[in-house]
Amino acid sequence: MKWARYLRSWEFALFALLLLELGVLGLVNPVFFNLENLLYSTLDFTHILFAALPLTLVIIAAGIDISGVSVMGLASITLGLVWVAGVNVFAALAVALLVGVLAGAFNGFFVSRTDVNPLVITLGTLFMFAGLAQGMPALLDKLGFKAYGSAGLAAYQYEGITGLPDAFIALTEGSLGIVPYPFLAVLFFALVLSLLLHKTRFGRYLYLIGVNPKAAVYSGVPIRRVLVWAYVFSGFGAALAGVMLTSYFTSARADLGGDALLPIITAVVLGGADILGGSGTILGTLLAGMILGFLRQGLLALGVTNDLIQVVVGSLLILAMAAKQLLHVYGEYRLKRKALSSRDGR
Amino acid sequence: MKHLVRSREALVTLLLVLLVVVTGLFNPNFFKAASIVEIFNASLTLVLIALGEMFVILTRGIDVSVGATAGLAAVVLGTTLNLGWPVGAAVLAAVLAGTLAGALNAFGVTFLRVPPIIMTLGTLGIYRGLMRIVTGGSWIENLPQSIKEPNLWGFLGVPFFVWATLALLALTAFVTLRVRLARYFYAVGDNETGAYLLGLPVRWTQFAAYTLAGTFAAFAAVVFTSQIGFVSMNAADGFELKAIAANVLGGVSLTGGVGTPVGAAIGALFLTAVHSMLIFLGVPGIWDNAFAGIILLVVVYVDYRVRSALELQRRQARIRGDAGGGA
Amino acid sequence: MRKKFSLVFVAALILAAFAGTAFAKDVKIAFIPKLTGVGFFESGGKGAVAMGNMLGIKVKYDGPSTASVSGQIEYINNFVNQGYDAIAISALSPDGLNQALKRAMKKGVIILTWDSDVNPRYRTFYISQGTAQQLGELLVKMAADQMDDPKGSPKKVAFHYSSPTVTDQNQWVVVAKKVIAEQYPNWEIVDTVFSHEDAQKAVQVPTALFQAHPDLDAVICPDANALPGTAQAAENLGIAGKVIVTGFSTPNVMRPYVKRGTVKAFGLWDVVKQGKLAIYVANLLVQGKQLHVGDEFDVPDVGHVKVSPNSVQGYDYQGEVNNGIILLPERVVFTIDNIDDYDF
Repeated sequence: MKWARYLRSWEFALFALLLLELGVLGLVNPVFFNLENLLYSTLDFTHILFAALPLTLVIIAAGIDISGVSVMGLASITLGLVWVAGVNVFAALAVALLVGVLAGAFNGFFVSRTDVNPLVITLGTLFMFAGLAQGMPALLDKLGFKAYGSAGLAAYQYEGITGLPDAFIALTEGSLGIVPYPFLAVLFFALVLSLLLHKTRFGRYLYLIGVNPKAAVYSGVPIRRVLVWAYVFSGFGAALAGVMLTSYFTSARADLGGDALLPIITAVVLGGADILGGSGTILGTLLAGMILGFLRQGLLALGVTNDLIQVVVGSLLILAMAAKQLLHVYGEYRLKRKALSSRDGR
Repeated sequence: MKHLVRSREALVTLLLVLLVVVTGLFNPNFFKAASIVEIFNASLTLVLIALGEMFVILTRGIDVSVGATAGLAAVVLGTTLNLGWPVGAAVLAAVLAGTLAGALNAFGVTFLRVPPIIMTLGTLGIYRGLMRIVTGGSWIENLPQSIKEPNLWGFLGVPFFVWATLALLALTAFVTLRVRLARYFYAVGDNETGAYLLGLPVRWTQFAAYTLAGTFAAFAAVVFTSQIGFVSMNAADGFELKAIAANVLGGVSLTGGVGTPVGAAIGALFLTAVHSMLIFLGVPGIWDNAFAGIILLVVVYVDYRVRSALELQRRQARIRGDAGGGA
Repeated sequence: MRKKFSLVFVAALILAAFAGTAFAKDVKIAFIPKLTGVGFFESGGKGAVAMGNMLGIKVKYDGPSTASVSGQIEYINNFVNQGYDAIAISALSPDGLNQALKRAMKKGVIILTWDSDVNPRYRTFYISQGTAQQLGELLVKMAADQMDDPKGSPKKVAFHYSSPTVTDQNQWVVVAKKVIAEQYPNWEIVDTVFSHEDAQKAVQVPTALFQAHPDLDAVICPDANALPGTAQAAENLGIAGKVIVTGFSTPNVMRPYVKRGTVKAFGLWDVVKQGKLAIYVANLLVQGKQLHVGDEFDVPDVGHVKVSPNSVQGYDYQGEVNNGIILLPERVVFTIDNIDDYDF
């Protein structure tokens, strides 16, 4: 009975869909089944997973955080500037992650202390963080800091900061066997967040806030603190994504990750999270992110043009969800039939 | 007066006026009528898209495909114009295309029961992809001058499109306030089950909302094409989020049932005007995004503080009233 | 049952859409733009494909639909996995693609850059439209040539382009600003504004700029959206012809503004030829030819070109063979007299 429940869960459907997708893409294009290439291609979407996984927490609590894509750039340029200033690159990495945490905390405080919709707040911070990231090199230049490059500190703003140490580049270049480090890291991150969401009081509070914030208040949930932490995780995840991209691009740039917003949100909602709060799982987001990522990579490998990929991905997204809803309706119908027939039987 | 301040749109308007005054004091060129008119002119695209989005949000839905719908409609407009269609026919085709795109969303949401965010994220990709497939990826250039002419018409120094949008806004405001059918949007968004039990056509109301969002996006596309004179492949890219934010800023609640067209329009005006004001204020372009974000945050914060102060005052007044007169 | 059906349906859909794709074992070259859907890059792509047809090899033009480094990397990786022989790319970031390019070279793929370069260690040749120095000077020259007394009375100018983080446009503008400071000290740069590749903002921003500075003499717009947007803003405000609007964009989008006299002169290079040249050189290298600095050769439809050392762009690194810069023969200033000779 319990197994049947697992089989009927959305996560299982996603898992089946992922296997089916890999199977079909592999059959159509045997090149795609080259395991090394397949795993290497995860590098092109792990940053989306890094940001989408913790965003799930925020969305479960009926929030939203669209500022993550700017936090990526902010974390990246911070890492670069701190490293240029002569700090060890891994210490710079820690500072970049701290910036992500602070950015998340800023969002969290603003959201939890006011009744302003989080979409508007994080739209504001989306602009603000992007602006800060763009302007930071110029600002430091004005403040009189010296640069080592030829064109001065301000040039970092458009040329990026390069020459990062090999040990740092190895974070994304390296792999355990044929599994790239970032993919391992994302799986570990998912595990931690999953435990946090499903095995702790914090996780249950998130669902409660999402389902019924009033009930949460009356049952003594420290709403503000819980919310701040949710946004902090989101900021931290975005900063991780920014750091990962910095290593992958071998350069720190203020504008990286800017186009990831819609893929991130798509992964979360396809993963089963309700944008109005109260439902969603980390596993769902992880699977959905992988489905979308491999689909894109698989279609690209087939030589499908970018325009057509957008159409195909959009259509499949709708079809998958429509199928889910149809099944749901059919299930309800069957339940009712069963109830009726059992009554008639008596 | 208090009643006025208590309404969300009035408060945001007040803050907008305040910003205008500050900018004007800093740079007198801003106080010229032409400058103000141009800000209205620049905001029309977003105002129209936000108005359409409002219907969807009122029904407790969300539509993130409106930017792509506008882009698709602009492509239809540009392509038909370059095929030699008269302006009227081309505009009609564009509006039809936008309406159809909206209706497809509506079909998915109401009949296939796909959650709105998924449905419209899906069509966002589909419409953007279609745009490029239709045009082969190139911009639509060399549009006939006839499409740009309406942008140059004016009355009392105010461009035709500003008048047209104001008229449309007034009409929408009147309809949503006074016409029974249009009140269904509020009823459905406020309490779907309740509306259903009352016998309202819930599905069809939602259907109408998404379709209208498409139609309004097409209107925006017409204005956009006329003002700019070419159609780029990332036309109206990212407008979906701005349109949603404009609504929320103007007091339209994402949980449905609350908000007015005027609020949505003011929100859109605000989000556009900020970028122009920063130029008048002499803020270097590199800080444009940072300041736009900070101003937005400050405004919503002040708005929140004023509202909570008024709310407190109202409660205290009620308590005093209760204690005194027992009424 | 239904679930199975829907899954099979999805599978069938994918199969049906792509079953026709065949794989030939000829020379395959990928030509990657910064982003698709922009006239400039589409024209480059058309040139590349045309040269491919002429040489009888397969040339594929595709890339990300928004200007994103991660999008470009995705394409590089995929073309490498698909066994392409060579990749010609207009890089969004001078160093952001390094890791992907390194992997490509390790797998034996020949890398060229066109329009925007990367670190010379990670490519063979850069098919260049001109150095940042040349293009920055051209921007200032086009504005100065339209003034009655460029070195006389005080002038006010502004720059308008896509964003503070885009690499090449910023490099040109840095040069242009330096040239202005050295040669035209009477010019005051009142503002530098950005429209982030948003056509609507590309009109709004210069409109505010013109109104905030009614005495502005010139706006220099080295961006495909910014130039037509600024011209449109000037027309909307009725100041067309009174203010100098110049910069870089494609002739097709600018033609009406040039015809109406709003824009008297603007520049670019023949990107169609650039695409052709890139594919021609890529094919030479795929065929195993070795090119050295100083070599000269003729390219059909393009003209006579020469291999220059990396140092013309200020790089220190110089490889022995098959490494350097190939400059396009010329840059073009479009005016009402010659604009009809170009269609891209």
